[in-house]
Amino acid sequence: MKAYIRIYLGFISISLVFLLSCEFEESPSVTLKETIVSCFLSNDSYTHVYLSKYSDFSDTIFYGRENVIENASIKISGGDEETDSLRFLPWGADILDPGGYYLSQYSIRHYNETYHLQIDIPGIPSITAEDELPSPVPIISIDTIIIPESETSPRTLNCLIHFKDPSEITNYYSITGILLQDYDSLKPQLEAQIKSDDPIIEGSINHYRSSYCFFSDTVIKGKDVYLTCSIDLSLLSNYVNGAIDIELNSISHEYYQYLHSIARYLKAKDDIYSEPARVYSNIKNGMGIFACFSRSSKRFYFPKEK
Amino acid sequence: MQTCLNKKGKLKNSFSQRTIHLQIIIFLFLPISILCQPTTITIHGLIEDSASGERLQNANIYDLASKRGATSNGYGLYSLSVPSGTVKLFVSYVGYRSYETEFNATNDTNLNFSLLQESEIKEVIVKGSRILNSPSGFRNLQMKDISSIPLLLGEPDLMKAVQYLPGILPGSEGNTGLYIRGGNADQTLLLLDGVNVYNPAHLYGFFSIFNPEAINDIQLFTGYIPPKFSGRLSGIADVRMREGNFNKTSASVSIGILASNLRLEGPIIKNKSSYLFTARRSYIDLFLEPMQVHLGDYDASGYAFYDLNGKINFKLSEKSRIYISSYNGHDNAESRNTTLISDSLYSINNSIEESLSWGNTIVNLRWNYIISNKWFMNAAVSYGHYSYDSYSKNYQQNSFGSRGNTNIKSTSTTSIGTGSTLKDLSFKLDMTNHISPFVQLNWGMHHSNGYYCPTVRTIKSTINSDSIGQTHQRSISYQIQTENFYLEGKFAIGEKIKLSFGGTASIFTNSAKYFIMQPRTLVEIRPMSVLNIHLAYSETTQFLHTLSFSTIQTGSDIIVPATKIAKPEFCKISSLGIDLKLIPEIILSAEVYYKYLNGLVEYMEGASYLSSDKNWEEIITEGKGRAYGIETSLKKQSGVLTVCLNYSYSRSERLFSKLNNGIIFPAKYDRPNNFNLSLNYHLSKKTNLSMIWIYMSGYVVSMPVGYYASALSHPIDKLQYQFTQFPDIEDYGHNNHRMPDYHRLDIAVQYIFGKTKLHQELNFGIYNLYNRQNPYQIYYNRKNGNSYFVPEISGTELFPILPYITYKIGF
Repeated sequence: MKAYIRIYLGFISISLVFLLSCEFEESPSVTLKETIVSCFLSNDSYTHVYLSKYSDFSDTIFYGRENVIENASIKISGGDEETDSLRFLPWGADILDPGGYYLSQYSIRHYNETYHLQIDIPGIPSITAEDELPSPVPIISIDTIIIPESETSPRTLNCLIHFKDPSEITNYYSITGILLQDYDSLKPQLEAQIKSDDPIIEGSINHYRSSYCFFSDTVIKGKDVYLTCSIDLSLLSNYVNGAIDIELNSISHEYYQYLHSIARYLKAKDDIYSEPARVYSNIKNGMGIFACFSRSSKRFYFPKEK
Repeated sequence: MQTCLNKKGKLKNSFSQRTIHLQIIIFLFLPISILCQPTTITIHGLIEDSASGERLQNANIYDLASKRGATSNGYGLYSLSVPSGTVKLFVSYVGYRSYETEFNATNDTNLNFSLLQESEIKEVIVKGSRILNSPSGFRNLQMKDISSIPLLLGEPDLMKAVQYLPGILPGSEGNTGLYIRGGNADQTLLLLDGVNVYNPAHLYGFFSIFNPEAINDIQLFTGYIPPKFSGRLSGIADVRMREGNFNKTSASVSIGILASNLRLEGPIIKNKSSYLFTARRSYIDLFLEPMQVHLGDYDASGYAFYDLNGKINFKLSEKSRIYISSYNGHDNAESRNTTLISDSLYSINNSIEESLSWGNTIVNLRWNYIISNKWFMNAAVSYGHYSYDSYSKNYQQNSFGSRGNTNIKSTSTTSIGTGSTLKDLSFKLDMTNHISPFVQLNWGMHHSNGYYCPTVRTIKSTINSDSIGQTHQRSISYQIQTENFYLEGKFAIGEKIKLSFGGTASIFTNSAKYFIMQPRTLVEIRPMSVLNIHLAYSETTQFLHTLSFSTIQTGSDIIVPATKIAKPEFCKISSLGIDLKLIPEIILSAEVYYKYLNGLVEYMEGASYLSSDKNWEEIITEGKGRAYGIETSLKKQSGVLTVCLNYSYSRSERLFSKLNNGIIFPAKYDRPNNFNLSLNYHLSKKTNLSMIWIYMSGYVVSMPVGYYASALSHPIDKLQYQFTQFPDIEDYGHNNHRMPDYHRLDIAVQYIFGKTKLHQELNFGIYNLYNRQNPYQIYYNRKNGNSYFVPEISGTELFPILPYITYKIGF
């Protein structure tokens, strides 16, 4: 029997050598994801960073201020610019602004510059991300026509946006519309529902108060582009001075990937027959998004009906 | 060896090249050893069942004088070369009385053997030293051996019995799929009389299409895959139908809880030709119908399946035989669910109708011809057809207005119809040449013309009888051609070493053309009479993919061919094993394996079953996988009590750059620990008791791992902050949650009675004796509070404790 045990142990040893000699490929290490970052850096506005906690599946999930991280130190740097240290704006700072986020000191940024985000929270490794601010692509012209309300559709603004895609680099875009209910007063602004059947559009998001169409320059590289879209004006009253801002955003590749993943995620979430989808993240030691964009916009006014 | 591979593939390519070079060298030098052998003669012939005349495959024939042996092939033919002079032959086959004869042979001799079957239940005595002579990963299971195994609802099911073998895993509970050594179910080639079966499932996979009355046995190849088999990555399950009785007419009827079975067989011309016919039908629908009358018009459902098997054999001469076999089976499920909600002001009538059907048709014409005592030929033409159809209709009628005075009425209808078809016409030629006692050559070819139409989908929507949208999407159909050429040499070097090597060359033509070489090697060494060591290496490829949605349990699978985008799947399997006879009749086996898979496809994240605007090629992503493990078994196969104890530790993992953030994740049916213990006690000549206890790690499912709030996009205005927060993004893991471990105990009693001419059998058993609540599916949900969510996980169990009884009568 001893001989058999020796044979068997010998086999087990050879088996271990056999398995250890087999090819094992490396896969990326699992990222830390306790902290969620939302930050969009633009060429013409103060930068806001929203920090929140990740909730494990077994946790009870709270909305609102319970999840916000308030004790972080956040810095944004890029090129030769002075490092921008962000300050936390507490909740309820303004009646129109719920607060609960970090706000930058500077609002002017430079195109084609890579910006670095660094977040330090006591007890966890530094959270970092970086992205390049793309140059804005100016809107050359926008032709519009208002389609009156009918039985099947609301009052709609049909637009033809003309711009030229720069040929030197790969560009990514998003378009959106912002309704100003009464531009004479400080009435809250509303994000307009924007739609486009234009073949260059690759995806769109219409969720809650967000409405975006996005695309890359794969088929329009270096060309003059006439993009058609329509904006729902039903939220704009006929009886006050209204306006609409149509924005053509030149977005970074990181932003483009994020929008793609959000669109895919939202579609999958409402479809019980769909494979689950994840949202793109470019945050090291955390999750979420740090993305840059540059705005070009045109405003149209709708004087109130007399 | 794949001719065009990526950068990484080049490394592997060179390894494969070395394997081929080594094989060429062996081929060149072995004839020298062959020439040095003494004068030999060849004894060849058939090994048959004496009662029915059916040929016995894998029967052992052994010359005790020269200590040389052979095994009958799939058609009962053997060829044994021995030194001229005194020959002492010992013929044995499990369940049959062994036979011994001695004679003097100076010339090639034709010798047929008819073995007597052991009557009634009797302890099985396995004699001879050939017990350890089983190649790597090869297993043979006779249908008659599984009749006493306790099985779900008492339906003897070949596939379920096979799942008890080490290295073979079931999918979810009740599933008939074979997941061999970390592969998917579609990576197992299922053959019924040599013809490809695409879907072996009845009743959503709880039973297989293989009628126990029509099936003779199954041969499984999980390690070394002989070159004559190709087309799948992980393994081969070769199911053979019975041939029918050449000597007398016999029939049987069996009545079970789920289905009834009829068998009829006998000679057409005695000893010249025979027929076999079996029919099986379920009667779930017959039971459900009276219950539906009770429920009224609101809810109804029905399910029925049937299968028919037929086989005719003609002995044209002693050397020539023709077989015609066929199978036809179909499943059909229907359900209707109606809900009516009414109030004083409105009423909503919602009705959902669903139907699902699928079926296989197989026809095979085969010709066996013994060209000479050393040459054997098998030629076959076969046709296979598989179709699948599903239909779902949702009808809603809304009525508004005071009761009895309806003012507004609106109706809406949405219907979705899906179907797929696969057809296959093939020709196969297999040649066996026994060159010398030490050399056997197998070679042949397989040509197949296939038609694949993966999905035809129609979606219709109407409101108040006006069509508001209709999508008729017919996915591209494919005409494919596959050619396989194979060559295998089997060499005996002395008495202690056996070598098998060769390979398959496959040419596949669709939108792209692929030429793939697949070398196969097996080395068997027997340093002692009680020890057998085997080392195997096989490369395999498959030119089809099965795509499944993880969110849909049944009915969403589509089978698609390899194309320019979805390249063929490719696999390398290495294994090392030993069989050790501890004490007489107790064998300890262990085998370790490693498998590398490439070209695997899965649906991309966010891909939907209902997406009608994209072809399947646009929503898939390609990846690779690996599987490794060790399988051990301890068997006592003779005596009053037979015992089999199997344990395997195995892992199966996948790596897709576009899934799970490029991090390795476990395959769906990655079950690390598998253990089963089966006992069979022959209480008397007529009574048999058996039990089996199964333990498996749970399989894995995709579940949310957490939630977080993130902005969908940038603030809408540069002056004010209005971040659009999306409050609960679910963060998914891919196959990240392991289900609870699975275990259950089944027991069965088999009692055989009746007079000699009228055979009666009563089987009683209990499935899941201690009523283990093994979860079949789990769901997650979140209760919505005022400003928070509370997570909740719930599950469903499928089979509680289930007693069964079946009765069989035959003559």
